[in-house]
Amino acid sequence: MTALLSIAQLSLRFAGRDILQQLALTLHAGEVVSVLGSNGAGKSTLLKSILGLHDAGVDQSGQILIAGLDIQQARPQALAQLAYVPEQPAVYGHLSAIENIGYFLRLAAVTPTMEISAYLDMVGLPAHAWQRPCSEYSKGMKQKVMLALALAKQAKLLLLDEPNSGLDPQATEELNQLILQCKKKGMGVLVVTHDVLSAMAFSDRLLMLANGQLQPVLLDQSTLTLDSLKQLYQGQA
Amino acid sequence: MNASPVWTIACNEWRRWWHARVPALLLVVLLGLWGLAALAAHHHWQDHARTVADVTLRSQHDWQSQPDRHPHRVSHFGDFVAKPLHPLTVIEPGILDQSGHLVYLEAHRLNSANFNPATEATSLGRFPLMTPGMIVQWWMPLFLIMIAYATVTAEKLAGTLAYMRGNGTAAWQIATGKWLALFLPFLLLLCLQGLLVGLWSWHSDQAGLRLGLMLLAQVLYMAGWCGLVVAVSWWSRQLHAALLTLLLCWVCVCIIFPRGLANLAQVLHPTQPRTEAEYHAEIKLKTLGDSHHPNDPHFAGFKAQTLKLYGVSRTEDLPVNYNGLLMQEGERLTTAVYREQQALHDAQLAKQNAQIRHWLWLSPALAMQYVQMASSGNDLAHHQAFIRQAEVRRYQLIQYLNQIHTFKVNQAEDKDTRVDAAFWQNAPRPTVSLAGIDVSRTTLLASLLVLLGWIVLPCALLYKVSKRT
Repeated sequence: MTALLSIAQLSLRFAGRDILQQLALTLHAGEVVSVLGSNGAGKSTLLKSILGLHDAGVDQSGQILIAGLDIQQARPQALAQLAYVPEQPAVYGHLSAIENIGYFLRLAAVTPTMEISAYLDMVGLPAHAWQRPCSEYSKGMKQKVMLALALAKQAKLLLLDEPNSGLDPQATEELNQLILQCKKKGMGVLVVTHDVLSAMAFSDRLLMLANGQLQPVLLDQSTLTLDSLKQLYQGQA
Repeated sequence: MNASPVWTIACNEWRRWWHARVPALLLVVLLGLWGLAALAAHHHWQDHARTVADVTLRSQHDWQSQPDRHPHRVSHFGDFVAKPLHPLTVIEPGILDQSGHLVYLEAHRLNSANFNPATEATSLGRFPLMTPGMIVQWWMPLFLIMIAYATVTAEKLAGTLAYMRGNGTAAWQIATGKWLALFLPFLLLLCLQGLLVGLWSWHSDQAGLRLGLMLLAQVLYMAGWCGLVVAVSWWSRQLHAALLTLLLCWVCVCIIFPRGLANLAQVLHPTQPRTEAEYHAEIKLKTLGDSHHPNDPHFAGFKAQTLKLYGVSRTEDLPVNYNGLLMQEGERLTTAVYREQQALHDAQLAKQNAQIRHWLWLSPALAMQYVQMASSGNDLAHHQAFIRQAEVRRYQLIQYLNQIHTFKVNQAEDKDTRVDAAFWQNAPRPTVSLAGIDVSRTTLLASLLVLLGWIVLPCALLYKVSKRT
């Protein structure tokens, strides 16, 4: 089976510092992988590399394949396979949820298989909010719009950057359920997060990004303590 | 769902303007300003045109109505010449208000329009004028900056830029969509202005060519500004940085560089003020000769030569009026001196223009103004062409009158003689017409090249910065 995401020997150097070193990662359909790591470890940089969004001055080597397509050689086709949800939900405040999704689908030249409202319903956004400008939405509602967009785009791979940051416990729980829904639909999900508990709730695998490399992490929710978390982030797990 | 990403992005930008209210309001204010400027400029043009028509008519009538009189009195009766105005003056009056458009032509007197400080029109002396040309040159870029400085920076801060890029929208599509959103409203306004003026001035000389060049320059100018706004907005990480950078660009391109270039040219190649030029001409004339002085060497020589030519020993024995011959010789000398002074003045102006052209790439605003001024027939080259035509007319007319003085007025009864009015009515007064636009070809070429470069610069900058998210 072709991996939805395949990263091999990815190294990245910026401003004289090695951010990623010979990093490797494989993610299959229906799999949720969470990447943990301390601030500045390079988690968001890894996502930028997958999206091919690095600024000038970044020295990158290695190979990234999305559904078998090389991001460097076939960027538009490769990006058509994925949906990316940034930390700050990127919706236009002057547009409603339906208009935002319509706009980004038009940019991606994607025709959804269902009405846009059906996707919003699927992610649990209240119907009364669908036509209201997104400037009136909470962060959780905006996250739902972005996930509805990912579903409407019929993406195979979903990239989430700190999806739970700034969400209250109820919104976090709703989002975790949505990620699991995506997994059930056969999507591959890569999550970059600080929220270890949520990651444990929806992930098939946990990876720690430290010293530019990904290491598998085995955690038991019943024995997880603040000290063990500290040790984990200090690379002593 | 079939709209291209570029068009989709442009439409979303307009929607953002509409939703934010302020950009939409600014566009409305700009439209109102342009309307006011058009009305004021039209009124101003009508005033000029009416004056030109009235003066031409009255001057013709007064000239033709002269009674039988002495030709020298006629030569001081004078003749008014009005500079023909192109209808595009309504867009760009150029140096018209500085140089004037009426000239009084008189015997051995300096043409009243010579040595005017015409170069002052390149400076900010024209700032209080409100014309459509000025709206395009100064106000449109300023309003564009206020409307759109945040066009990409805001997307960056909101994360939508990275989101679009990360979901497959190419940087060139975003840049083109943004540029199109900024450019199309201004293109529409410029085309509307061109259409209205075109319909109104189609009958005039070289209307299509002049209007086409003006529109081309305006379109290139605004296209460049739109590109710069998108590039700087993309380059900036903060909204205030984008605004301040663009305002700095505007101040440099529209205010500091044009003013600085005009000042630099005047310092490096100074022109004489009118009074100084007249003073130098008078000094030169005195060294050449004084016809009223009996022992003046030049006129003594002229007298001897004339007597020898006619084979007589006294001026009283000449078959022609010696006073008329003196007038002709005096006019020839005076004109030569004035033309020499004029040539010196023109040479300095040419040096100033060459100096400004050399650094014109610093200010596309000045380049655009030059094309507007040339297209409307109100630049320095057109003014100088008018001055030359007026001077030719003056010289021909005065020498015609001097010849009548020479051949039709009996020397013995010189002061009491009246010549038939038919002579004035048939006097040569060649029509002064607006010079063809080719008189400004050097300036036009340099300016259009600068404006083409002005398009390339933001594109290169945009290409460089569009990798940023």
